[in-house]
Amino acid sequence: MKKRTLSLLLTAAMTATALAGCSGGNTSTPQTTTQAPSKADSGSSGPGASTEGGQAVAEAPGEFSYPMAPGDKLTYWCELTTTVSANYASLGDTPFGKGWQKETGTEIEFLHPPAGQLKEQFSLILADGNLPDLMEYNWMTDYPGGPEKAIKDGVIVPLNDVFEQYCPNLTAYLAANPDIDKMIKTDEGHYYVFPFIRGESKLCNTIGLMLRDDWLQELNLEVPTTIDEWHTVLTAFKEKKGAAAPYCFEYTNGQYLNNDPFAFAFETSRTFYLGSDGKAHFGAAEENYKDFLTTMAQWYAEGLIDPDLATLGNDQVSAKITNGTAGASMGQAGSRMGTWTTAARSSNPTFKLVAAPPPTVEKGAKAEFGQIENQYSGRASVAITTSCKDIERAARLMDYAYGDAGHLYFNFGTQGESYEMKDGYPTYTDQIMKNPDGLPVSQAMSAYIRGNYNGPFVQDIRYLEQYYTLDEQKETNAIWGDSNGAAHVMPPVTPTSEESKEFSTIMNEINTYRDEMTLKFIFGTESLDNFDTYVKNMENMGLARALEIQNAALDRYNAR
Amino acid sequence: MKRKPKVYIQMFLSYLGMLVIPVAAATVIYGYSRQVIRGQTEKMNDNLLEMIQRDLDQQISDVQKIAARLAMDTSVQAISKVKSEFGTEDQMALYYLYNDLQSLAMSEDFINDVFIYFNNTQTVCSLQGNMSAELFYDLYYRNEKHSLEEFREYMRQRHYNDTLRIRRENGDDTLLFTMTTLDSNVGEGSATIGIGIKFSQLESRLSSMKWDDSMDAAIISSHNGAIYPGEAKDSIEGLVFEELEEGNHTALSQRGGRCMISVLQSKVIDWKYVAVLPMTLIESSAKQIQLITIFCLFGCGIVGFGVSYYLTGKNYNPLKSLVDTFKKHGDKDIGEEDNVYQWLNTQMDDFFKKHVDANRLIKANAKSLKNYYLFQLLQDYYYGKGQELERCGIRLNLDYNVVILFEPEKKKDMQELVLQRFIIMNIFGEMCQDHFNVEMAEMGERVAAIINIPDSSSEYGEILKEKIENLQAMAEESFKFSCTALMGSVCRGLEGIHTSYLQAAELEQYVVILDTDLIIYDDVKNLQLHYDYSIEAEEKIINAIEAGDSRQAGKLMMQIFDHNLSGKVSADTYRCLVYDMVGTLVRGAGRGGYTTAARELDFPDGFSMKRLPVDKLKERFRELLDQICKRVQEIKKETAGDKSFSRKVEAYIEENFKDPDLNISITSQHFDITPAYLSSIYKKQTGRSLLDYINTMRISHAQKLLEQGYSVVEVAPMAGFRDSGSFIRAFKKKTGVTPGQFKSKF
Repeated sequence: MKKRTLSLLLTAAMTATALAGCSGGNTSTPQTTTQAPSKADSGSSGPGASTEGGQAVAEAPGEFSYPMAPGDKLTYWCELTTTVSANYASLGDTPFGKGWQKETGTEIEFLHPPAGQLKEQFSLILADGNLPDLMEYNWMTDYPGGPEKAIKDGVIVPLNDVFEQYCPNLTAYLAANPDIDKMIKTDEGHYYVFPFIRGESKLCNTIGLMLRDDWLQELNLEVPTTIDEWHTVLTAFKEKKGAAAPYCFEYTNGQYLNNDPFAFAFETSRTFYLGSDGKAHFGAAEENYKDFLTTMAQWYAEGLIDPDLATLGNDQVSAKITNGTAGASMGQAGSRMGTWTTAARSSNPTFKLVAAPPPTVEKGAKAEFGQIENQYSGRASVAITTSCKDIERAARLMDYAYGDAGHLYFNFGTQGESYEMKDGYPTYTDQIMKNPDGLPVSQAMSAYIRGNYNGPFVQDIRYLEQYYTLDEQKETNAIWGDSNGAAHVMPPVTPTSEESKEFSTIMNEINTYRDEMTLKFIFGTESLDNFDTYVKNMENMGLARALEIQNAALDRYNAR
Repeated sequence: MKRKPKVYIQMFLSYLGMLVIPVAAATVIYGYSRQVIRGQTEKMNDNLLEMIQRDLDQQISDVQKIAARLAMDTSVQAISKVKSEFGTEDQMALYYLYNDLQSLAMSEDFINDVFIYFNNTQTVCSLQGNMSAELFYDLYYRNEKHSLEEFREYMRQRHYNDTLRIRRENGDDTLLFTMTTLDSNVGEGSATIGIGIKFSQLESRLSSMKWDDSMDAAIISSHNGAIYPGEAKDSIEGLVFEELEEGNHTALSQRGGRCMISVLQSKVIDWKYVAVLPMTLIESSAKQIQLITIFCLFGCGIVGFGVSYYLTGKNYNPLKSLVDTFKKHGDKDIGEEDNVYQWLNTQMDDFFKKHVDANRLIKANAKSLKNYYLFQLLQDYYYGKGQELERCGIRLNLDYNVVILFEPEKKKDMQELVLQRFIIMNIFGEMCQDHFNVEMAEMGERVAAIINIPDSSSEYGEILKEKIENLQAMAEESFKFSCTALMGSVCRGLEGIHTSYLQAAELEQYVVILDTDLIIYDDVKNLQLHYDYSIEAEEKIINAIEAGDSRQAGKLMMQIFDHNLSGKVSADTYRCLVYDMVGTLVRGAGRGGYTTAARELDFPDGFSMKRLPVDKLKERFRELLDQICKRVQEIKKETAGDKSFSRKVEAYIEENFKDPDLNISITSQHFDITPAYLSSIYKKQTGRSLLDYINTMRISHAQKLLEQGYSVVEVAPMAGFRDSGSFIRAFKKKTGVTPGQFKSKF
């Protein structure tokens, strides 16, 4: 009870602050009576803490327990991740989806956009106005105008009251983790989603460079750590191993582009980053980016980069890595390194990928930039839309994942089926680890859990500890995390809805231009001599204003 | 059972024949239902096909539009001209093209894949990215049917709205629409646009049409044969594009059985959408109806057979019994080939010919018989049974009976009498039958009505009286005749009819007396016998008659009549009076010397019991009285002279009777005539014998003497007797006592 009070107080306090900072706006946030705050253990995180809080609060609404009584069917819109779509047409067909409905007593109709058309379909649904009850999306970054706008547009409902009334588990977790609580609300203090939260920072660096260790061995090369070493290695791959596309990565994947390690090597990013000055910077408009492009253009011209780079998708990259057309790539340790290794070894048992540390320009220097995500990235978080008729049911459905049972279910699946408790440690069964149908671990997991990718729950590190079966995978956290990247990641700031619109208008144009120009620079069809013109063009498009907005949002965030 | 006669069979067959009606009706209904079902099915198939056509045509035309757009896209055409390998300078174009494809495919969920195959460079620009044809084939289109070479070969060929179906081992099933770039440069420098749609899309749309699992949908292409379904199916096999005609619901024999085939031509592509419906499906619907129909027919048959059998039996049995009857009484049997009806007809004719006269007689006799019974009832005590009477149509089942006799006014015309009786019988019968059982019978000139009533209460009498009066009034008014009604008393039982009849008959006497139309026995029976006719009165009348005084006699007689026949008089009184009067007249006539009056005046004729009204009676008596008195006077005149002679004789005798010698001879000598003549004249004049007169004189004188005290001996000579002995004998003879006895009385 104490913890709940604390959370409410925190909410109230923050709401008050937000209201003070924001002129007018909506005032539908709950007012709670002030009580003497008691100290919360803000340092502790993970299921233990949330469990305690969850149990305490669960009693409050009066004997509520899962499963719920049968009621209306809820529609749930989300992207079907590739490891699921490989075997299932719908999340509802998976053991996970079925079990989730059974555990919560809620019938769910899953709706999935066609692969690769998440944003387009999202726009279509909004235009259509016929909204699913629940939508899993990156509401923070991908809704035009930001989450506050989504609330104002009447697309989604603010969740402060909902959390308080129906979500004891999540409320307890947020009370115990104020830094996350800070991330998942708008500057105005509105909760808007059931967030995907990485339970530990280790889970936040998941993407990195990898290359053929067997080739390195064969060519007697070390794992490259600098740009030059990479050049050497890629050249060797091309010349000695006949790789037509020595470096080949999923260029059409925005996440990869935002976390391009080679850009990080030049201490830049194609997007906003937190500068050492504590201000937001737009990497693609800075001089470092030109250096990065210069290198890339050179490599491309030398044939070290896949000539089809611009349109590379996972299929092609997977094919090229596994068939030896490419020797280096980037991606996650699980869905990429693990999958590719498994696939390739069936024909090439010596196939081995190894993680490469974030490269630097200078040998031996500690990488300043690196891939690391915020614990809350905005991705795969679920909002309740205004079309939802039974908000309580929807809220209870979502809150389940943040409770003790739901946490285990989302991360480990069904006890006795997908995991067993061994000495208090949820251990995946052979159904997952050595799937009798021969499914890769990632696909086997995706059938039973969401812990291996994302979704509205708190991700458990223990999944990753078991997910990585290969030694080279297990190394990745340490190797890829060896940077000062966390200092340069933009926190999940939210521009105000007015700013947001302006911001997104500006940034749409800038991003399109940037992407096009970046390709042109890399392909060499545009001379890098024109980089200044390129920057000027972006400034003409309102880059300064975008930065201003971003910085203002950052200020507000810092002030939360 | 015996051999059924022909007619029985015919009758039975004709009934059964009616069963043809339901059979015909059922057949027509079945046939019609089948047609309707088939028609409905065709219509349904057509509608569904139309739906599919609209939907798929829309999608396919979109696909074709995209394909055409890409085929005419100059950048595509430009890229397609690039020889052998793309340079970095082409990459941007390819990138733009890729983005272009993304945006194209995005809005089309029907479209699964869009790619452009560049023939020169053997590369593919696709939704999944740009890559070599080999990689593209490996990743997305590897299949057993088309090797990479074949795929390349296919892509190298020119295509325009072609389709190619590619089924991958992993289950992906894609229908590829292909179109080669449309630039003029024919040959190597071409690109082929491929737009893939998931076969499952087609499938889901086509299967949505299947309203029954057993039906099949197909898409037949003009040159590729069956596009859908992919796998060979019995029902689809053998369908040839050219042979399928739109709107023609042909029935074809497929391997899976006979099928009804509906066809609709696509408007945008050389496809024909085909719905194949097994006839068995239609027939199974029709079969339901058929089953019901047959079941009903069977029911009709059973019931109809039963009813026919029953009706035949019922209707034939009377005929049969008729035939049997005729057979029994006749000697003729039905011939094998004879129609029973004809036979019966003949038999009947014969029968009636024979019996019709008897019948008629019986009918006529029935009336007579009834009359006879009624007559018997009236005329005699009847102790028989009511049923016997009822058989003759006489209904007298109630306990009491009254007889009423109607006596029409006397008419000479016999015909008129008959008519009157007829009128009375009918009118009265009709009047009374509402209230009573009535039987009417003619009793000679009279009409007798027997009224049968439940009890003897008087209310019936009242009703009857009223009826009788009505009848009389009606007879009077409408038919101009009067009739008298005589009603007996209410008597119990059938035997009472006679009693009542007698009473009624008896009342006839009163008709004259009472001078009324309706005489009721109960009113009359209590009349007292009141009769007053004294001897003195009679003596007076006789004396008057003797004296020939008809006026006096008539006056006296009328007094007697008036005295006795005033007020209600019983018939007996009347009768006695008439007899007495007749006696008086005869005696009076006798006294007056008219001894033959009774014979001459023909009393019986004049005073028979035939009724005469009192007035007429009186008149009749007066007439008789006048005749008698007239005759008496005549006789007196005749005998007046002779009397003086007898007086002289008597005077002589009075002087000489004391003389014992006086006798007839001496007297005759005195008058100078013979004793015999003397005796006869005397007798003639006085009516007694002369000897008697002499003796009377002597005895009366002797009596006087005896009274005076003279002894018998003394008296004998004094009274003219020779001796006392003869005196005593004569005295005793005359008076009955001896003279001594006579003397001793004093």
